[in-house]
Amino acid sequence: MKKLKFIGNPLLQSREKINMSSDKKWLTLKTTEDNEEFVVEESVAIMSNVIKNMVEDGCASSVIPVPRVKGNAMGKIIEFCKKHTEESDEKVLKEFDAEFLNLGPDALYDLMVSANFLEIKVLLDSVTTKVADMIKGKSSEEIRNILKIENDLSAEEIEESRRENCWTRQE
Amino acid sequence: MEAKNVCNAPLSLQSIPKEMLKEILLLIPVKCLLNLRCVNKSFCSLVNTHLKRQILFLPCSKEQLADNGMRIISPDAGCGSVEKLVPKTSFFNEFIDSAKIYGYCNGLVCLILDMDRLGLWNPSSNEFKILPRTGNPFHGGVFYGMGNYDSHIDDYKLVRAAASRFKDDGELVYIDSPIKFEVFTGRSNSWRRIEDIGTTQCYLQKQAVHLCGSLYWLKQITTLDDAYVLSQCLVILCFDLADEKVREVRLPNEEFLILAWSRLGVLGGRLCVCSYEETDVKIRMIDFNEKASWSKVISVIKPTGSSFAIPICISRKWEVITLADGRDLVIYDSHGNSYRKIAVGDGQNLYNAAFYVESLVRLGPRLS
Repeated sequence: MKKLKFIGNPLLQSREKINMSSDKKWLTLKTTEDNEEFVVEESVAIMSNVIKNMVEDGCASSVIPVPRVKGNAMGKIIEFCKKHTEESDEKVLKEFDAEFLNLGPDALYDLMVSANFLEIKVLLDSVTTKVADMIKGKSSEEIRNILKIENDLSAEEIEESRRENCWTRQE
Repeated sequence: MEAKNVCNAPLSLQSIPKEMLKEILLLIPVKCLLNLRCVNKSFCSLVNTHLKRQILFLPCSKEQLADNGMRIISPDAGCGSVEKLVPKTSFFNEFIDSAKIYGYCNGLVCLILDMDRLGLWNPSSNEFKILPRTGNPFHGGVFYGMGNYDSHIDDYKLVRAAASRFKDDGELVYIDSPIKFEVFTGRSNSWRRIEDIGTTQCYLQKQAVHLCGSLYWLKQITTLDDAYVLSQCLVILCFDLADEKVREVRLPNEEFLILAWSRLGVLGGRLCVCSYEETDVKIRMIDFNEKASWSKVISVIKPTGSSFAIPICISRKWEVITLADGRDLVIYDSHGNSYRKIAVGDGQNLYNAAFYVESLVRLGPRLS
């Protein structure tokens, strides 16, 4: 079942489809993993370097297939890009990002990998900083819990690392 | 991992590419990275090999060291804040009168403690080690180079090249100065002699630079031909750390290069010759194919009123960062059109600066 998502005013959307000389261009992005379609303004979509190159090379006529990114991640990414193209106030953007990235580690990894694949530097930097902040200042046990990592070190290896850390941090 | 994910299956940390994990690590201070080593195997190996790039400001005297300590700044974070690092001076107590700061070597600071002994200090882990005597106190110039920590052998190497006026049998030589090479490895905790290179009158630049498993020194060779005409040329002395072999590579078109005003550096990931000219500093990148040839040339104009600007590094955003007059950091934007200055010296204090990558390499048992 195809789901068509319009980002923006649907009325404006249909009018511009007919008006060839409109100054706003629209693109359709389709996530090939789950067949979700997203209609976005070109100015928002080209925040992704990958899509920008496709547009400049002239291969973005109809629907742009986007592999490896799932529908819900795509939706979030578009929301992010839209806010960043519309808003120029640093403070507002910072607050938006903080709220936007208030996600669990799985969703964050998803965003990180997708932003990396689509080459959206601003988003990638924000997510990377968020994950780094989650790790800073935490003990190894806490880090494992937060990032949901399994411990594959043996008891001896952990003890050796701990001893080394004590010794290097002394003085 | 290319496996097609079922819509709802979450991604795990394992499927994140190493490059992205490295980017995260770069944002975390070294002290917190120590904890990360205990999380799991892949973080442990990642932390041990990939740490932050920093610029370290070395005071020019041990008094300055005792008063102000050392300062570090992060070039990739836009040279925002200056962190102060005060080493424990009890390290140097025994040698306080003769100790001199020699320089940096890939994450470790090198100090000359006396005629024959070196001290190594890792600012990231605050570990200090006094190296054993070489058994070959220098007569002429001594030159050092530090190799990177090599994870295959789990060790680091230090190379000492002493241009000696004396041959092994004690004979004095006037023209051929043999350069005696010695290698120190952390595990063996001793110096080992390797081949000598006898050359004609030459002058080696003090500090080697390291790139991709080899050390490089800039060398000037002076020759007197039969008609007693003096000529000079610059060569690069390459030392391969793996097979410990030395070779010389001549630089192309070096009429304009004089050793006194040139310096080898590693900038933007390439070996370069930085030359200080009247109004600007030129960074010439070297391509090693069969012979050495110049590839890219970057030129940065010295700020007005400054006499000396030493390039330290190129940030990830392609900003050239230089130290001007031992006091100010001058950061040029990637087009070289404009620059901004950050004062790092304290008034009259003169600093030398070095670019290094943080390292958690163990130097050995700590001297208490």
